[in-house]
Amino acid sequence: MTNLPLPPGLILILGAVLIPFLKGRAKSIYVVVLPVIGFVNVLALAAGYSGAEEVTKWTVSFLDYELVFGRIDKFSLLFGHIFSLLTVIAFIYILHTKDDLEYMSGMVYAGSGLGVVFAGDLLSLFIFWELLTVCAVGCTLARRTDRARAAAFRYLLVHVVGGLILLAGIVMYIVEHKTAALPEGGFGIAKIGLDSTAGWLIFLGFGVNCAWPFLHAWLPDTYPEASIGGVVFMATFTTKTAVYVLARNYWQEPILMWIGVCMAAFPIFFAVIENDLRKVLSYSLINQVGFMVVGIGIGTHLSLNGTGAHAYCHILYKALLFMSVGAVMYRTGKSKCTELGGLVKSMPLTCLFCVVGAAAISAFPFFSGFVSKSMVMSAAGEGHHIIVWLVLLFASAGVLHHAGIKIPFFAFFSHDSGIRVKEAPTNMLVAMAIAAFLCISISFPVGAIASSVPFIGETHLAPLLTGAPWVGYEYLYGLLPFELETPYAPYTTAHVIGQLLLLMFAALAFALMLLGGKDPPERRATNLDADWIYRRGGPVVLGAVDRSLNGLNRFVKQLVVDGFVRRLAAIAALGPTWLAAQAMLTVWEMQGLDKETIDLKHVEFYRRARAGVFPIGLTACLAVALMALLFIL
Amino acid sequence: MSNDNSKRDDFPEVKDDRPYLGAIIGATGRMWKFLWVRPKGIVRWLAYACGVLLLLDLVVLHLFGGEHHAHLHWENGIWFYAVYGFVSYALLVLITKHLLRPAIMRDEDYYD
Repeated sequence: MTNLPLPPGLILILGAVLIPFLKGRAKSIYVVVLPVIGFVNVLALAAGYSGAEEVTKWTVSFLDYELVFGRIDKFSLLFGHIFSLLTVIAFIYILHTKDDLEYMSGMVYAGSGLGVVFAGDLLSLFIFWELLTVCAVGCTLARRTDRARAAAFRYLLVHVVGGLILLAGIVMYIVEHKTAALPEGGFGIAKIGLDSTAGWLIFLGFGVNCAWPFLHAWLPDTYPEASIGGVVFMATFTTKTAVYVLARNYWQEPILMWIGVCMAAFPIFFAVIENDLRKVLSYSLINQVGFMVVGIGIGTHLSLNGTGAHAYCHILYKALLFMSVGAVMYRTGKSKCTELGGLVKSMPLTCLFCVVGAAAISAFPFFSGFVSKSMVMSAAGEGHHIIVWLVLLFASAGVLHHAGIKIPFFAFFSHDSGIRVKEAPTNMLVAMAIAAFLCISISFPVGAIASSVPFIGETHLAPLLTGAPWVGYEYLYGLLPFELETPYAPYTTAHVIGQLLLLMFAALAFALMLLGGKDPPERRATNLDADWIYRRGGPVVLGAVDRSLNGLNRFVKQLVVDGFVRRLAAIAALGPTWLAAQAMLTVWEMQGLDKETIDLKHVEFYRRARAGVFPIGLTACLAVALMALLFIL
Repeated sequence: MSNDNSKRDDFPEVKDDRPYLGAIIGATGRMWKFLWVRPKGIVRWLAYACGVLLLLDLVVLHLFGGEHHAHLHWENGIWFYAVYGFVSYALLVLITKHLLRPAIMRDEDYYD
């Protein structure tokens, strides 16, 4: 099984080609079976991986370079695992759409995400990296609205710039190192680092996709406009592949710690006043990625494990939240707080799944955020990064507001908007149910329960529970790249009580402020963000460029084309005539002709010059004949 | 929050053409109806839960000196997390409402 014929990314990318040729039920079966094959393939890879060293597979020669499509170690397997698992869930979710654009974009998106994760050299990484952008544009266009088209175009512009910066860095890296291969030696040992210009450019190129502060505006700009299913792919692959490549190549760079702190803190302020639920989720996505980036910046084994675990959990609960809001959108056609409310009566199951996702992102004990986010927090505490730790704690309380409370509260509770719809389609419910189940099961302290509860520990249930896949946080921790000397234990009394205190008191603050009327009321509005720079600044720059450069153009045209060239032509045409005329005037005066005759001859001279008919034939003819004679002789 | 309580109590009978789902959906709806009585009731339960947690923190972690694994000493301070959660939440909302929103809020069709 370990020598399956194709690398994980290519299975999906090549498989996607067949989608438009299939019809009806065959198409539906195919788009679910293909990701399942991809997932089984990754599981087979993981099963065949011994666990000690990095393994390189599927090497292809291309020009003077080696493209490596399989760089397999525990870290790439962790991301490959969650990417391909999520692909299965997402395709179940969009099964009802029968939309080729969405299906193909999603499938190639997943394939290129896997391609980046398993890429062992910069060239193949770059190809898959750009494919991610193309597919994101496809997922946005699949919404088929004018706003989506405009957003897709802006997305493309930003990511093309990011891609070009990355390409520049890659070219410089290849020139410096004479190879396109990524630094070898394994995760946490070798890295590109920031000690060269190439390193900085690649860093910045990754940063655009990672939604760093001021480079982030594409995310809350595009995701709310994307198609209902497409956004699940977008929320999963683009930022998380960036986290992955940053973790591989720039771990333990202190600057990343501070970038991550900013990412975790600033979006929560924007999310609090945002009206569009999918925009709230977009800001909360940046906030969650911030935790991962902090983990990369700290760069200890615990924090890198935390980054990996948090990416795994985050992909599941963020997809779940996007899916539940998407289900609401699908049924009601609305996604704004001001237009929704009271949907618990019509869509109780979707509401239940949404609450599970909200609890998971808020990191309530027994939900997935609890076992992953705390690793990064602990690593920050362990390294005595006090400010980092305090800001992350603040962000944890902030997450509860916008993602934990706001999303379910305004969609399903709050005031009754009077909307009565059917529960979400079955395929959507199934996808959400799988994600919700995983959000709980991968965080459950199954091992502890099995060993401490007298009944279970003595029955044959215990090994069944502790050994089962996707059950218990021990399973998740087993996927992480590093073995820690003292295994991280999330369920200590102090941690559980501390986390509950933090969240419950934040929730109490919410309830009191809401009842006291202090909570900012939801308003229909556009809130400015860094995209203002290019959405408003762009036209201004265009206008300024139009006026300045086109003005310069007009001025130069007047000066050169209309002025100088015309004069030059006139001089070229009349100059010799004028000179000859001056000479002839002298001759005519010497001949003693009167003024009238001279004037007549003068006019006649110019007329002949313009027509080119001077009677100089005889002299010239003799001269030419003489020269011809000389030449022949 | 709306004062329209009459509307809130009106839970429609769940009608779904998927028989295998109807029962689940109906049961979930009834559960929500049971939980969602009055908003102030929920806040009261929330306050009780907070009180119990404060007591637990005091008794389990401080009076009986439970495990202290914190890396930063103030993490062990009594009710640190409660105060930090409440204060940071209140600060977040107040800063956003009074500083950020006036600065960045525009008409809904600002970019159109």
